[in-house]
Amino acid sequence: MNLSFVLPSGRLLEESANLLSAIGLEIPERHSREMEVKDGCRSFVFAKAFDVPVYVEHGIDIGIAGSDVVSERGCDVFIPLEFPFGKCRMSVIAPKESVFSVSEMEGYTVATKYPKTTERFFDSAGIAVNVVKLHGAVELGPKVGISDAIVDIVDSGNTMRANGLKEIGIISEVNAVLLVNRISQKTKFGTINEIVNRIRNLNPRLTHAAQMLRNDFKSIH
Amino acid sequence: MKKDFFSENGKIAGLSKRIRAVFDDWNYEEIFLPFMEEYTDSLRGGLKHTDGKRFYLIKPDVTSQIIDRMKQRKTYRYFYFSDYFLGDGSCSIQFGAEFVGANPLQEKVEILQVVASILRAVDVSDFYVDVGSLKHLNEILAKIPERRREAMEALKSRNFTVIEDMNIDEEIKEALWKIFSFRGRKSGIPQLDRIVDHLPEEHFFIDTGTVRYLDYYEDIVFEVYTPSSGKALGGGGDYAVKEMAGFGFSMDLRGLAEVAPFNSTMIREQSGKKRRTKYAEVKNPILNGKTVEVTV
Repeated sequence: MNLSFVLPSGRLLEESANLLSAIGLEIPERHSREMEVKDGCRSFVFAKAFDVPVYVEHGIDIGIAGSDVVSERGCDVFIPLEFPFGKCRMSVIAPKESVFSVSEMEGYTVATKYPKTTERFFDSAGIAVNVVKLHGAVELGPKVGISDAIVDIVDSGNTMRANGLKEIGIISEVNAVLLVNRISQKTKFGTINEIVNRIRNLNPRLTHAAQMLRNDFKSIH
Repeated sequence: MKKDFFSENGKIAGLSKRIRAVFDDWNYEEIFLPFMEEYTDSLRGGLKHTDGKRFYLIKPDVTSQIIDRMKQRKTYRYFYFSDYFLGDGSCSIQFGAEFVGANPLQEKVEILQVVASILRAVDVSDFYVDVGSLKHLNEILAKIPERRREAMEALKSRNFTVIEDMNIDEEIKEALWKIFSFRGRKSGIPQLDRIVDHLPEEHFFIDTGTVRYLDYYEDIVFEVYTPSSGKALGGGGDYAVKEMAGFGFSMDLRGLAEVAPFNSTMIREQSGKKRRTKYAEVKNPILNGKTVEVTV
């Protein structure tokens, strides 16, 4: 059965490849500029992290992406597993000398790569802010005066501190997640459940559920 | 190259002709509804609008518009074509049908047969229909009222990790796992087994993880899809109105146009007589050349 994967070409790629390798899905060697490699009936596509959920929504069977981009893209995909890697958090960040809290940001301007997530967060808190979409280096927003604060991913916090910023609120914890196309989950039910099952078996905490799934496969197929 | 609007329109027009003929063959009458209605609690969806005095809904959910108009107990068979809003501000075209006031099993089997007839009429042969039960799911979720919302969100995305991490009884987790992982023809859930028993086995399945969320759905829901598309073509479910049972579906016409192989030229080449013959064949329910009798 043909099976297609889309993997993020950024910081999550190595751990995603290791995870697939651990369940027997080796990604073939590829030239650094190759965006797709094939191994028999399996194909692996390498896409920008932000685009992974879109590819899965539109027909690629399986993908791995950060929960931050899944939330931002709002794609209609299944998310059967959350992984213990790619961990970081999405936060509200302001200049270190600022004295306001998140609840006092009514009317402020926030720069971010994640405008939908940002709007959802402030809307749910009943705080009206102006959101400016930037495509990267959002730390520049407060520096050049186009925003009062930013919403961005915080990992070690080094970039934030190096740019004279501090975290003033956490929006959500972020980690890598497995994505499955809604139709593939049906048309490739056994194959996809087996992959999910194998990944779950890597984590002892999930063994019971994996056993349940295995029993169900036997009864169905 | 920019898409040719008129060529695309030709295909949509061709499809809609074939679909209307199928509805006609099944004795469904086309219903025409206002594109804007004054807001009431019984209407769903649509774009909210106000003129400063009153609140309106532009293009509300068609099923809720039809239900709102059913004042007396009788059998209703209606179909519609309508624009509808996709959540991102853009529009698409949907078509669908409602069958109300008959035997509930008869309604479900017939509507699902109509769906299959339409797909055959537009030459989409590799399609599947998965049927699920909201009632079955709700019976399990009723045991964890405080975690119901969280579990429902997890079910929407089939998120195994969230369920596993919940501090709930292991038996309930097991029941939820079964919902995630069953797809077949015999589920042990009587209301689902009865429906698929009447329908051809290569296209109709029970997938207990099929969950559609419209607040008027009572129990049975279904999704229609084809491996040719990464997105569902449509779906539907059952509801109650004026002490009558109803069952209906909607499908995205543009989504269907993307997977339907024929073009508008083919439609024009068919004589009216040939078309009628084809639709009659399609109605003969439905697949495999075998007639399916509905026992109620």
